[in-house]
Amino acid sequence: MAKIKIDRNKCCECYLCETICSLQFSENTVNPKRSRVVGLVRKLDVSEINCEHCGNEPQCIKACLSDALAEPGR
Amino acid sequence: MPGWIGKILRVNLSKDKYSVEDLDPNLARNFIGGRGLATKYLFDEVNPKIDGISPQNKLLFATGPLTGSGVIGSGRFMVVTKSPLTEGVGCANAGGYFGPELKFSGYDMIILEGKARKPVYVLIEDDKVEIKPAQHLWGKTTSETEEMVKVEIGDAHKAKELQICTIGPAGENRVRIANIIHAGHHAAGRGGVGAVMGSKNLKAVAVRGTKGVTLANRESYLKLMATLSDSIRKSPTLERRPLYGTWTGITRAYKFGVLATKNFQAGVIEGVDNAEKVLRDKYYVRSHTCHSCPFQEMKTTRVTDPEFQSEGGGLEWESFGLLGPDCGITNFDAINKACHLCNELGIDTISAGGTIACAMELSERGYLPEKDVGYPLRFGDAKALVDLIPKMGRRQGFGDFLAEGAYRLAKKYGHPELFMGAKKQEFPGFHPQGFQILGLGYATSNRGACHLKNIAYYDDSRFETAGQAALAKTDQDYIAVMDSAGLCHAIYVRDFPVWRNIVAQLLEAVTGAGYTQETMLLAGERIWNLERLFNLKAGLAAKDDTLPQRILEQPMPEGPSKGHVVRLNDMLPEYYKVRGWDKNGVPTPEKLAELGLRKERVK
Repeated sequence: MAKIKIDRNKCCECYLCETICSLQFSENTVNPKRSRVVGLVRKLDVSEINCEHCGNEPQCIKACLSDALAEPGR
Repeated sequence: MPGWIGKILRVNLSKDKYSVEDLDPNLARNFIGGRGLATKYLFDEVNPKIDGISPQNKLLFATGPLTGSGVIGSGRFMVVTKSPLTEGVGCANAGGYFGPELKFSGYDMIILEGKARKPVYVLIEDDKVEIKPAQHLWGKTTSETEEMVKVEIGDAHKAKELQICTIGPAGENRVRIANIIHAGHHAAGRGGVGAVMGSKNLKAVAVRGTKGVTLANRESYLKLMATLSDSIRKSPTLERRPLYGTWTGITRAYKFGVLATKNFQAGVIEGVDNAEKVLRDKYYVRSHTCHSCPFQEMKTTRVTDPEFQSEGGGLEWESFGLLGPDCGITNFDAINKACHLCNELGIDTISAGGTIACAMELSERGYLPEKDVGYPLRFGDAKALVDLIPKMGRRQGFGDFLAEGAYRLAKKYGHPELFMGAKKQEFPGFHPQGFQILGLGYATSNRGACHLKNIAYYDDSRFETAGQAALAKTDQDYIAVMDSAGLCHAIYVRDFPVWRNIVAQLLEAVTGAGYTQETMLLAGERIWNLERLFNLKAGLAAKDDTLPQRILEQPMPEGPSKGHVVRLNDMLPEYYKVRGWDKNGVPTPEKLAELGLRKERVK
């Protein structure tokens, strides 16, 4: 199972990751609250989630301009 | 209706009722949203001649079609009302997370009308709208209010999502330069919008939503987002903004000798040449950003020295300029503390600094009796600065006069010529004598002297007047588009000027409403003209498109802009011409027909 990890020192809380993530679940609606990554970014006691929705190229990691998200070990 | 939600929430505070209305798609396309759409509603529903703090005034919180769409730099919203400061159209822009959250709750705009019998706040959670008692919040500072509203919602996760706009004691006291604060440091700052909110007995608006924003063209959207991301990754801005934010403006103003100094008597002052580095090294605590923006421009700063001990956000370059050098003050501890006080009380930092600077000059010239203030007020008095701000916010003693803003203060003491601003609103931090286009921009800005309606000024042509009118017009129209779409023009104009050319594509990708570069800029021009018509109907006229005599006639005494005045007469007639206005500054019937504003004309 793929993992996505957050570095809170780098995350600036712009939520661009949620925007792009939400578009993986909807054809044409941006809805950060319905994104998979929301539970990682907004819940301060969570530092890692399991997600393989995007396969080999997690779109949330690509969208983050602060380099706060990563796949551990990759 | 991609981009727009298509719903407007109308809250009548007098009747303790609300309703939800549909947004007309044609109106949305023609006025875009945000500033444009809200101004159209203000124009149609509010008599421009009323007193800004009367219950007949309305207060509109408006998002644009791009707000919350995730487009980079789209975290903005506008507050539009009739200004109690300028007595013309009032519009103030802010970032943070409030605008996007309002969209996610299912509304493009909130219209607040009437006046509540007792203090209230409005809580919006998707379809659930409540007008709740706020007597316990009355008198609280902006950060105290936010905290208390968050506690009341009773769920830690919901509280984190809740986005709040609030006034401080200044808005409650109808201080004419009171603002609306979101998240402690994002300010819908200018024009006294906070006084209007206070006059309605409205302490705060809190929103939380779970809905989304629909896109017209997903593929085009993703392609444009990739383009924006690539250009950001290649730019030094991504490194620099989180470090210094807008503090680089201080360095720029100092370099060109245009730093507001001692009530605009000069453009340079000792002790600020290294300000951005000093602020970073000695005062910086952390950076903050807005929704959908990686640049982290906003800073929290801290003063450790006991005399001016303080911590808070909001020290932007303009706040620094007006609260500092314009008051002859270069004590960074005091400037930081003054800014934090303003944010907690809910006072616009620019107008607060400009008003105290005006008082200092009145006092130094012997026009303001010592007994009124209680001590001899002089430029450079850091203690007086932090003493006067709370009095201003609470209208205590001499603070009651300061609360009226610099125009009314100077007039009260018989020296209106010492008010430094335009249309009764205080100047921002750049001294216009070093940039001709800024002089024209300040004089013609619909909301009074303003740092945000003309920001494309060019270093190499700063003393030229030829061609500035056309540049100013284009800039004003373009910025009207930004403010209406929900985009941040600090990024789209200043840091990435090339992005101008893709704004129409962004609008089209998100809305699919048929925007092109031409129709988009025409909408910007339409919005600018509608604001002008509101002002004309309110009683403002060409005589108000002017600057203080000091700026027009007394040359800059020293520094890199030495010897210059603003040659407004060389630019203003040309400006009216390129605007399609007659020599009295009234839009011609032909221009209004071209803009589709025939029925809005001034009769």
